[in-house]
Amino acid sequence: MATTKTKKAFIISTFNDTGTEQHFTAGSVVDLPEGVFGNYEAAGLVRAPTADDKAAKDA
Amino acid sequence: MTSITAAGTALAISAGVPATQDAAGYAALTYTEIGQIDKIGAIGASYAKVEFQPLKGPKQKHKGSVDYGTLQPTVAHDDADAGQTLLRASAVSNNLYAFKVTLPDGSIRYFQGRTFGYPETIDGADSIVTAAPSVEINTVVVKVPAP
Repeated sequence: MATTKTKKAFIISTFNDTGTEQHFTAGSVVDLPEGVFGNYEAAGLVRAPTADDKAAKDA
Repeated sequence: MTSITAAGTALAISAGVPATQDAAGYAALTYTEIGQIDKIGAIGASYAKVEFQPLKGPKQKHKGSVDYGTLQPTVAHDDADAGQTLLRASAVSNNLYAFKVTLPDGSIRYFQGRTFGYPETIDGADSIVTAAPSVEINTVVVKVPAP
């Protein structure tokens, strides 16, 4: 069975995904499937996290 | 009777476009569902009518150029909906986006289009703020039958 590649995503603004019924909170860092990341990134909802984002999350 | 109602139909959008213009190509993409849809509207091509009226004889009618049509859904505006946000982003882009319409029986319509506008409607006090995006379809609509 193929595994789905994921990407770390920094959530720029709080949003919901109607199809998956997932809720994302601004400022958090989450793992997303690459295709999902691409759509959210094109929508301006997420970006690749910076080192500062990761540090803030781990703090 | 195989008629179905529209209730439960979903419209989804992808920022990617398929490598091949067929069901497999479209199915390989990831889609984000557009929330709060009120109606999706007409999907499909129509041909320009080319007419010639000879001095003698009836008017001749021919099929001219094809227009794959315009998708004109209406949605209740939701700033926090990912699908709506991607659709709004497509309206300020010149890129083609892939669309997927899933009917309640599981049949699917795939196509690519450019979003030419995303006007919002703010009506009377007892109404929902809506938007009426306009997606010009640029490809044949690929139909996948119900499983």
